[in-house]
Amino acid sequence: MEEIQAVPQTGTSHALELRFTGSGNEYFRIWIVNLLLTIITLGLYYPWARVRRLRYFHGNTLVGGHALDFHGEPKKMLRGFLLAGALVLLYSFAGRISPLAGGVAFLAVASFVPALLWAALRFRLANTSWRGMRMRFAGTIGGAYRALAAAVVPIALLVGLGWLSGSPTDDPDQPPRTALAIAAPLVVLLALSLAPLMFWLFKRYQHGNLALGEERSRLGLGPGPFFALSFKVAGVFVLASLALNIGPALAVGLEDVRGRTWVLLLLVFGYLIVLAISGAYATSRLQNLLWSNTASARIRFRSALEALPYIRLAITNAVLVILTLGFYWPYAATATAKMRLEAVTVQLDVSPDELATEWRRDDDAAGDAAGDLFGIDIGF
Amino acid sequence: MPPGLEADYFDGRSARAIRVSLRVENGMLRIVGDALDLSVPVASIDWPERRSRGVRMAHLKGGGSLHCSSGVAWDAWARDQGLGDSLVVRAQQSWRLAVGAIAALIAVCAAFYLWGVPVAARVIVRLVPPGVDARVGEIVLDTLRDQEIVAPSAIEWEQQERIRTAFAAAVGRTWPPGDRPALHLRFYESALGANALALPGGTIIVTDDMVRLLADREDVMLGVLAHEIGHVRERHSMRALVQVSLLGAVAGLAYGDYSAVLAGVPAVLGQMAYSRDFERRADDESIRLLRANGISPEVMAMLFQRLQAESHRRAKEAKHFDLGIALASHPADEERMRRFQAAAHEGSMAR
Ligand SMILES: [Zn+2]
Repeated sequence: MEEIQAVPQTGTSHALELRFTGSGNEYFRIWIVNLLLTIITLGLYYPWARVRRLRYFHGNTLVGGHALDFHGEPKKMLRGFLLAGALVLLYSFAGRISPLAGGVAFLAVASFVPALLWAALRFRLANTSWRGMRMRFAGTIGGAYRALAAAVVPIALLVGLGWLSGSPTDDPDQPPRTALAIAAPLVVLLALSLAPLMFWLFKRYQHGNLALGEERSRLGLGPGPFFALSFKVAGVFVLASLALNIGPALAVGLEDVRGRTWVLLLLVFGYLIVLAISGAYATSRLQNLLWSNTASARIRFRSALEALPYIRLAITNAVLVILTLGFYWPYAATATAKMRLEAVTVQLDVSPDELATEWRRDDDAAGDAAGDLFGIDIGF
Repeated sequence: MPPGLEADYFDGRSARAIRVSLRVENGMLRIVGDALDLSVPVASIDWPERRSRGVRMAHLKGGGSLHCSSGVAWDAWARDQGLGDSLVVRAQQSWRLAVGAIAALIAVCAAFYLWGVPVAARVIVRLVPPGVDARVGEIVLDTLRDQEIVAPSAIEWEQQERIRTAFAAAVGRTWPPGDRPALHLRFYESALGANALALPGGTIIVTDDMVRLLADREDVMLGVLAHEIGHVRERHSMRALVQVSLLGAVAGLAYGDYSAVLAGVPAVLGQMAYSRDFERRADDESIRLLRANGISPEVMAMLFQRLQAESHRRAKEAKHFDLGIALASHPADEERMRRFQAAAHEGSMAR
C-alpha cells in the first residue's frame, strides 16, 4: 500500500487531497453495456447498473490516497426501486383520474418524502466506506420531518392558490376574482422567496449529520448566504438569457422568427445553454458554500471550485451531449466529477494514521441494518 | 508454491490496514498476515470487477474488506487463480463489445420507438375504462374555456343543426349500427383559427372559422368530421397521453440524472412522429366515410388549399408566430393531400 499522501502543515493539521481517477472512455463502456442491460430487462437491471456506477465513481475517488468504496447490494436496492417506482406510478396515475385523487395522492406521497429522504441518506452513507470504515448518517427520522416541515407553508400556499383559481365562480365579475388576480403573483413570490430557507433547513439536516467513527459534522452556516446566493443565481440566469436568448430574438425580430424552424431551434439550444450556465454557477457556489462550512471536531472540508472553469466545462458538456444525442454523457459525468471532487480538500487536526487507529465502528450496527432494510437510494 | 498477492486487509471495525498475502486453495481464499490467518469461501466474496486502472476492493461477509492499490497486479493474480470475468465485465472492457452494445441499443430503441411504445399505449389504453376518457375530455374542455381559447359560438343554431343532421346521416351510411360512434358535436368561436379537435371521450369541437371556411362545401366538412371521428374511435388522444408518459419515463431513466430538460426532448420529438401516424389513421376513416357517401376523397384537397391560404393571410395579419405551422404541418399537409388524391384514384379504378 502507498503511504498516505498527507501533507503535514503547521502544527498538527494535515491536508488530504481528493483525486478522481475515473476515465471517460472506460465509463462510456460501462454505461453503454449497463444501459443496454437495463433497457432489455425493462428496468429491472437498473439497481445492478447503479451499483456498478457508484462503485466506479467511489472507487476512483481517492481521499488522501485511499479510495472510497460502495457496499450496497443490488438485490436489496431492487426492492427500494420497485417501491419508489410504485409510488411514482400511483401518483402520476391518480393525477390523471381527477384533481381530487391527484391531491390525495400528492398529500400521501408528500407525507412519505421526509422518511424516504432519511432512508436514502442513511442507506447511501452506511454503504460508503473509506479505509474499510463505514460512514454513517446520524440524522433521525424525526429530524427529517422537522427539517422539511417548513416546506408545508409554500406548498400549502401554492396548492391553495391553485384550488381557489380553479374553483368555478358563478359571477365572473365577483370581487374575489380581482383580489385573487392581485394576490396570486404575491403568493407565488412569497412561496419562491421562502425556497432558500427551505433549502437551508434541509442542507443543515443533511450536512449536520454526516458521521465517521467518533466524528460528526455540523453545518456552520445560517440561512443568509443561501438567500444571497439565490439572488446571484437569478441574476446570472437573467444576464445569460439576455445575452443568449432574448437579445438575439429581439435582434432578429419576432417577425422574422416566425416560420423559420432553424431560428427557433437555435433559441431552444440557447435556452439549454442558459440553463447550463446558471446551473453550473449555482452548483459551484453552492458546493463551496456547503463544504467549506461543514466540519466536525477534528475534520474540516475546504472547497475551492472556481465558477468560470466549471461553467466552461458545463457549456462544453451540454453542447457535446446535445450534438451526440446523449452519447457524450459518460464523458461529461467523469469530467464533472473530476473538477468538482478535486476542488475539495479535507483538513485533519490529527495525523490520519492516528485517527485511523482510534476509529471504532459501533458494534450496534443498527444504522446499516436500517439502511439495508429500506434499500432506497436517491441520487443527491 | 508461488508468492501470494500483497494486499491490505481491513476488519471493518477500525481503519487500521493489515498487510496480508492472498492465495486461493481448494475454493477457499487464504488471507495470511501479521497475527492473522483467515480462510474464506471464494464463492462468498464480493469480488471487484476488472477495470483499466484504479484500486481493487473485495468485500468479505461480515464487513471486512481487501484493498489492492495495484489493479494490474490484482487482475493478473485473479486470472492465475482461475477467477474469471463475467460476460458483462468483458463487454465493459472491450471497445469491440461496447460498440456491439451501442448497435444493439440503437436496434432496441428503434424497435421500442416504432412498435413498442404504440403497442404498449394501445394495451394500456384498452385497460383504462372509457369513463376516464370522458373525465379527461371534460378537464381539457374546461381548460380551453378557462384560458379563453374557446368561446361561445357565433354560428346560427339552424346551421349547426344542419351540419349535425348531415353528419349523423353520413355516419349512418358508413358504419353498421353496433359499430357506430356516439356523436357529440360542439361549435366554438376560437383563437385556434379554422380547426377541429377530437377530445378524449368523444366530444368533437369545430371552430367557427372552420364552419365559415367550408360554408359552401358540406362534403368537405363531412370529411373533416369523419377525420375527427377516426381519432375518437381509436382513442388517439388517450394513446398520445400514454405514449408521451412512456417515452418520458424511458428517456428519464437514461439521461434523467444528467438533465431533466434533455430527457424531455425525445418525448416531444417522438410524439410529433406518432401524431403523424394518428393523422394517417384518421384520414383513412375520413376516406371511408366519404366513399360510403359517394363523395370522392379528392374533395379534401379543397380543405388543404383553403387552410393554406388562410394561414398565409393570418401570418400577414397576426403579430404572433405559430410554432405548430412552422415546425411540422406544411410537409405533412402535402403528404396528406396526396393520400386523399391516391384514394380517389383507387376508388375510381375499383368502380
Ligand atoms: Zn387529426
